[in-house]
Amino acid sequence: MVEKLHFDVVVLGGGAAGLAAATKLRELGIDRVVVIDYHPYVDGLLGGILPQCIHPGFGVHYFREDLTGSEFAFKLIRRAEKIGVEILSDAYASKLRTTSRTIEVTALSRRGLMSISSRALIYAAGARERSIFEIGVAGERPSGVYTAGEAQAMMDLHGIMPGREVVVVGSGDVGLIMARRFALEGAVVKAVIELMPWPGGLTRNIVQCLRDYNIPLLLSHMVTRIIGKDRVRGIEVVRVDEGLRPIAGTHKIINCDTVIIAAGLIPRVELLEEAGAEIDGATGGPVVNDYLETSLHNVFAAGNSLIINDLVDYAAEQGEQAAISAHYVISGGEIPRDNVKRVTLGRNIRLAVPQLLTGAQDVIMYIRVKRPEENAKLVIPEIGDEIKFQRVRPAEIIRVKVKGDDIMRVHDDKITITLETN
Amino acid sequence: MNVVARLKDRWISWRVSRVLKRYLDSVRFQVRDSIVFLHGSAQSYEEFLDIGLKVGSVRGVEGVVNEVEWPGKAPEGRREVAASKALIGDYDVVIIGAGIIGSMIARELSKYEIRVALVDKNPDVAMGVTKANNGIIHSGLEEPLGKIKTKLCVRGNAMYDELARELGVRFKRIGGLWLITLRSMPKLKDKLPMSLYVFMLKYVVPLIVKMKAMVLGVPGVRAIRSIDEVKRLEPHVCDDVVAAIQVPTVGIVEPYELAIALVENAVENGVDTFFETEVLGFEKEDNKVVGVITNRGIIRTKIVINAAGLYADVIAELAGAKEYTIHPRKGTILLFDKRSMKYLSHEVAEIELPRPPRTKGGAINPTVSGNVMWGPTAIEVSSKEDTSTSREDVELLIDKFAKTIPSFKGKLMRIFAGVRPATFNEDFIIRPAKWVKGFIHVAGIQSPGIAAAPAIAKLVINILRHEGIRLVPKKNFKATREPELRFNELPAEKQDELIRRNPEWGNVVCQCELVTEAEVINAIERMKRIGVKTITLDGVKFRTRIMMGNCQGSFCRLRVASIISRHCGIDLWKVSLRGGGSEIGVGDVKVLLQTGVSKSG
Repeated sequence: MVEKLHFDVVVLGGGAAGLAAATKLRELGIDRVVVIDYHPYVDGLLGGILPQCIHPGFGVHYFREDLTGSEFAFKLIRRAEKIGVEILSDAYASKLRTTSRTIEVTALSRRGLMSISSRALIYAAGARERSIFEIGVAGERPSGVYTAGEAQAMMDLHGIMPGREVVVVGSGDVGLIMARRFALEGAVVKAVIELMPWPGGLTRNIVQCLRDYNIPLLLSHMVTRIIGKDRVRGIEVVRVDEGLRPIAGTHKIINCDTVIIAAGLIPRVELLEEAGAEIDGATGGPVVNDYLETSLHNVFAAGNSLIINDLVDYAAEQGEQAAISAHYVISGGEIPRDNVKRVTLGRNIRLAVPQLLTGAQDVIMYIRVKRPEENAKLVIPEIGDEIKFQRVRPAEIIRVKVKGDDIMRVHDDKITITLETN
Repeated sequence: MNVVARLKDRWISWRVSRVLKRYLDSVRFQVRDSIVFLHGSAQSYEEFLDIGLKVGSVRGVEGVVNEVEWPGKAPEGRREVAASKALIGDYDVVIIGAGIIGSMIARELSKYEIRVALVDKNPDVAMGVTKANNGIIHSGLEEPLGKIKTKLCVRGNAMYDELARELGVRFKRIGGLWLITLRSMPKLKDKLPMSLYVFMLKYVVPLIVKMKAMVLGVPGVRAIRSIDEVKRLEPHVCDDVVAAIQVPTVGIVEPYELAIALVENAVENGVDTFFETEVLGFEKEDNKVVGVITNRGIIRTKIVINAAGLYADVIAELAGAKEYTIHPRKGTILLFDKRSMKYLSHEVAEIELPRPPRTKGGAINPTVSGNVMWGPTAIEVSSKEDTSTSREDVELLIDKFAKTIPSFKGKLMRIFAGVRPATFNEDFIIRPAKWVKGFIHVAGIQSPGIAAAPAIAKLVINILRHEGIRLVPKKNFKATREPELRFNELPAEKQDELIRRNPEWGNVVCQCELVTEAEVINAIERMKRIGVKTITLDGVKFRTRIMMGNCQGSFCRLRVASIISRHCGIDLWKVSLRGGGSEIGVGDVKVLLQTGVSKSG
């Protein structure tokens, strides 16, 4: 017999967003809140990817102190337990079905199959890492090619060393932190390879993870092929021009036994997609309104499955916003469906969340630019908002507040976000 | 040598000297019993191939041994492996190679009261040519008339329903839908008025194909001249389709799944396996093979079946039966994720007449596991180990099939390549060796080898009978094999029942493909049961589909490695992808700080 359970709110995913959401729901007085989590790495410890992040840089905004990922997770879990969040760990949500009235999750665990219904659902399933095939690297398929997260799990959860001579592909924060992690364990980090002419990570990480360890950063370089039959023996890289096309005659081979792919994250939205939610091509996550509600009724999204965040604090913040919205709807609140405005992306804007604005409340917008720019001005022409920035970078989310009243006053059915030079 | 054979060799010599005219300054040849031996030098690898293929195309040539040198030829890279003199077995038949062909023959032989050993240098079944194949059970219709492979393909195809049912492997007759488009006769396109060209495409091409089907005995072939019907069968194909040929017998399997099932069934019926056992030579008495010398010891036998795939020529030479050279032909395949299935239900290809020589760009097809594949390409390479992919190959496939199925929006998940063991006469070589007794060639089995495999095995049985091996049917032969349970294919009630019986069924290891811990443990146990000594990640992958989903293993590889480590009692870092040298790590996390970068391990 498939076990049937009912909760007020189901939270899918026990990472930063999910735990923050569940805690907030209890604080708001919701009785039955459950976090369903499949934690792939360490039994008994939630927090998504956090437990294996043993470096600092977490929680400056959210907890007002600089913590390691593991500490951040620990704090979140204790807080959630204390306030009475139910945790269904070791459980994997394999199906999501929704109608305008019902939400049903099928989950499986060592106990058996469960069919879990709820009045609202917060989807916080996190992200996965882009694979080597998704960045178009050809060549051979030997042992020794890992994503950054996987290598981190090998070292910091399982205690094994992936290799001796390492090349990191991608200079986002994850790649930079792993380059340093390898250097700290005595490996030789031959290079960090970046396709774009600018680094993908935060400046502080370029300094603290590469410069301090004399690790070369090869900008405007593309990895073309992996060499090695059983184990990686090297990788071939080539310089690219402004159009990201390989420049003839610039191929070179870097000998190494390990290749770490840190080429970005992809929101994990399979369940949402199967359930019919609209997906945004730019973010890879679901399209949401300012309540963080997806196109599925009473299903909210937060964290890296909504938008790839650069700070865990933002994921937690989105979790809390989703919780407030879920509380609102199950307490009888109605999310406005009329006069909803769609956010359109203007000059040098790569993505923006939420994608839909009701104007019923003030909203925090998370925006990423395509290219770095100095002395830029973020403009929302329909409202007349202007925010000046000394510099904007693709690596850093721009977080801005927009007033609901201002949105309400717009007659158009769209709201443009654009970047202008000063 | 009899007069007929001598006359035939003369005739072949004459023909060879004609086709090699422009090379005769630098290339010499001899003919013996319809085998042509080539020596000398060529300007390039392309010339080497051209020489071999020209000779191979001469009627009556039964094998081309091409030892023509070319600049840049790599020295024979055979590892030095020490032979062991210990006697490790005594059999009636030793099969070399546990790919699809060796496995099929082993299983066929397990029906009889004889002692059979299956030997492979790899740690597991199907780790060579077989694993990187698109799994199409071809109809035989696209093969040239007059070849052994064509006949065996048609015959083998017809045997698949029963075979798949007995072995409990997934097999689907998806049918082929071969499009006739405005690109189908490129040579005529500009020479004929458009209306005549379209008439040719709509009526003449289908007629030619249907006549060929009749000659070959390929059943059910049908011409579809209504574009609406084509679009109803495959809504996403290109708009310039003029007609199509439906070939209902085309099917799909997972080649490795089939090979594994065959070996499991063969072992259950008494066949012994020797993995990680490399053949280094043969013991002979009176010009007859009586034993196989390996790195692990000597296996005595009455007869050897050479199903060594890419290395069949090397093995044959060791036995003194050098009758052909295998030249590797690479095929690159693009694998798309499961959401791509909505774009496709048949094997879809575009017909091109006349057929471009040797290349077959492959097709697009769904797999039994619910993915979509594009390919394979057919590129000649000089190394048998060259399974690398290149940007050019990927672009070639994308250019080609984006025309066939323009609205396809599948997500590319993996790019891989395999190498086919082609012979220069472009046909299978299945026969007893000409100058050595007790040695049977089953070589050059490239496409359509998997389709032909069941018929190949039957043919080998006949050859064995002919060679004087007594084959008495086994009374207690067990034809069926219990298929492994695939959690994600079971109904919810059954899933729940399994978990309640054993909680390992409730522990999801691979999230993308929904594979549970119980399945991983089953796979390990099944590997041990067929004699696999080194449990590899690839072995578990091919049995369970772990690491085959969107994340390509980044979420599950370590979990699987941990289970292997626990069940086999080895250190986690020593778990390997596909055997020695492909371990996932180099030691404990502090190993480099303790011993330095170069010395540790």
